[in-house]
Amino acid sequence: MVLTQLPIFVTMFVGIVVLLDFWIKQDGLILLSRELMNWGVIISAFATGLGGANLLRIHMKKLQAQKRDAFYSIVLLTALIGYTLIGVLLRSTHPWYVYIFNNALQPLSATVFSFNAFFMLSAAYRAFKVRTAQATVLLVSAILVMLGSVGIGEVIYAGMPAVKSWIQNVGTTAGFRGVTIGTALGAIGLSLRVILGIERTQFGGSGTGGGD
Amino acid sequence: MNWNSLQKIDIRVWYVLLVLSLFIPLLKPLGLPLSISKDAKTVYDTVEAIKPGSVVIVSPSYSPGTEAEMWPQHAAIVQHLIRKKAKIIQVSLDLSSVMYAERAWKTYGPQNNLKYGEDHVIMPYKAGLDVVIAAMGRDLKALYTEDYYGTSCASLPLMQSISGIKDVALVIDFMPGNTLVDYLRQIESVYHIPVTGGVTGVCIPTMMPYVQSGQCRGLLGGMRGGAEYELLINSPGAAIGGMDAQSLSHVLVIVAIVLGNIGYLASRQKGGGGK
Repeated sequence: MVLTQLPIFVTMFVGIVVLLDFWIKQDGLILLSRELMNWGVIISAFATGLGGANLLRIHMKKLQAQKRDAFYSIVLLTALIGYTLIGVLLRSTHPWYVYIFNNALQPLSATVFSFNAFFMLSAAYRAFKVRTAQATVLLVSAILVMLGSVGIGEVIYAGMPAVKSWIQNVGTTAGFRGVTIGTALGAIGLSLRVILGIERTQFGGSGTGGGD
Repeated sequence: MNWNSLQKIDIRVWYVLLVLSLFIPLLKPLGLPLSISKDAKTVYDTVEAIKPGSVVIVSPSYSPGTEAEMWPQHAAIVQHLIRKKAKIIQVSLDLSSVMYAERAWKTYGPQNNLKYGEDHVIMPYKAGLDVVIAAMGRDLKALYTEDYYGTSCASLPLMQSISGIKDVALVIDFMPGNTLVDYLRQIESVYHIPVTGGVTGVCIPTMMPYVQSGQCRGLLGGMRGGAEYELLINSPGAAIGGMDAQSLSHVLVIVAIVLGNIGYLASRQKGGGGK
C-alpha cells in the first residue's frame, strides 16, 4: 500500500509546490521549490548513470551468451568503461579525454550522421513520386525549399530565398503552430493528470488510477 | 529512348555523384551568392544591441553528429560577442557539447586577450535538459557551484558579479533538439530575458512559430544560418566554405527526383504502373 501510494503523494507534492511557486511569491515556497528543482537535476544525472549501467548489463549478457556479434559488445564495453574511467579519474579536461573525443568520438559520430545524405538521396530518388496531387504539391514545395536554401537557387532565380521563406513562414508554420498548441494543451492535461495522481503509468503500472 | 529506365539507375551511381558533388566545391569553391535572411539579421541585431560588459549565456546543446551545422553558428556568435565585449557564460545541456564550449573559448578567448574567470566561464555538463534550464532560472548559482575545470564559482569574478538569471542580458542556444524551445518556456516567458539561437536545418519549422511571435529573437538555420552570420560579422569560416557543396548536393537530389519522376510517368503511360 505504502509502496504504491507514496510515489503518487511525492509526485503530487513536488508538482504542486513547483507549480505554486510560479504564482505565489513566498520565501519558504521559493526555497523549497529551488531545492526540488536541484533534486530534479540530480535525479536526471542518476538516470543517465542508470542508462549506462543498463547498457553494461545487456552487453555483459551478450558476451556471456557468446553470440555471433559478441565482438561488437567487447568494443562497446571497452570504449564505455575505458572512456568513463579516463573521465572520472583524470577529469574530462585531461588531454587524453579531449584527444579521444576529437579523434574518435567526433569523427565517428559525424560519419554516422553523414550517412543521412546517402539515405535521403536514395529515398528521394526511389519514393518521391508524383503519384497524387498532394504528393505533387509536396514534391514541388520540397524542390523550391531546397533551391531557396542554397546559393545556386539565387543564381537560377533571385527571388528563390523569398519563395522558400514564404513556404516555410506561411505554409509550414501554420501547420506547426497548430501542432505546437495541440501538444502544449496535451502536456498541460497530462501534467495535471500526473500531479493529481490520475496518471500512474510512469510508476510502471498498466494504466490510470481512475478518473477517465 | 526507354524513359522508364530513368527510374532504374543503379543507386551506386547516385552515391558516387553525391560524393563528387560534395568534394569538388570544397576543393574548388564556386563562389555562389548568398543573401542574408531577415531571421539571421535579427539575431545579429539582437547581439549588436547588447552593451559592453553585459553577461550573456551561450548554450551549445549539440553533439558531434550535428557539428557541421552547429559549430559555425556557435563560433561566429562567440566572435561577435567578444567584439561586443560581452561577458560569456557557456553552459552545456548535451554530454559532449561542453567540448565545443571549451573549443570556442580556446579558439577565440586567449587570442583576444580575454581572461578566463573574468570575461569567460565554462560550466560543466548537467543532465536534465528543461529541468536544468528551469533550475538555471530559479537559482543559477546554486545549480553551478563549480566550473568545468573544478574551480569554485564563488572565486570567479564573473560569477561574483551576478546574482542570478536576472543579471543576464541575453541567452543564446544552439540546438539540434528542443532546448531552444525549453529556454523560451523556462527563461524568456518567466524572466523576460531575450532568447535567440541557432538550429539544424530540420529544426527550422519547429522554431518558426516562436520566431514569428517574437519570443525567439531571430534564428540561424542550419549551415546557411552559420554562413549568413559569418558574412554579417565579416569573418568567413567553415559555413561559407560548405555552402557551395550543399548547393551542388541539393541540385543532385533535385535531378534525382526529376529523373525518377520522368521514369515513373513514362512507365505509367505504358500501363506498367511504375512502383
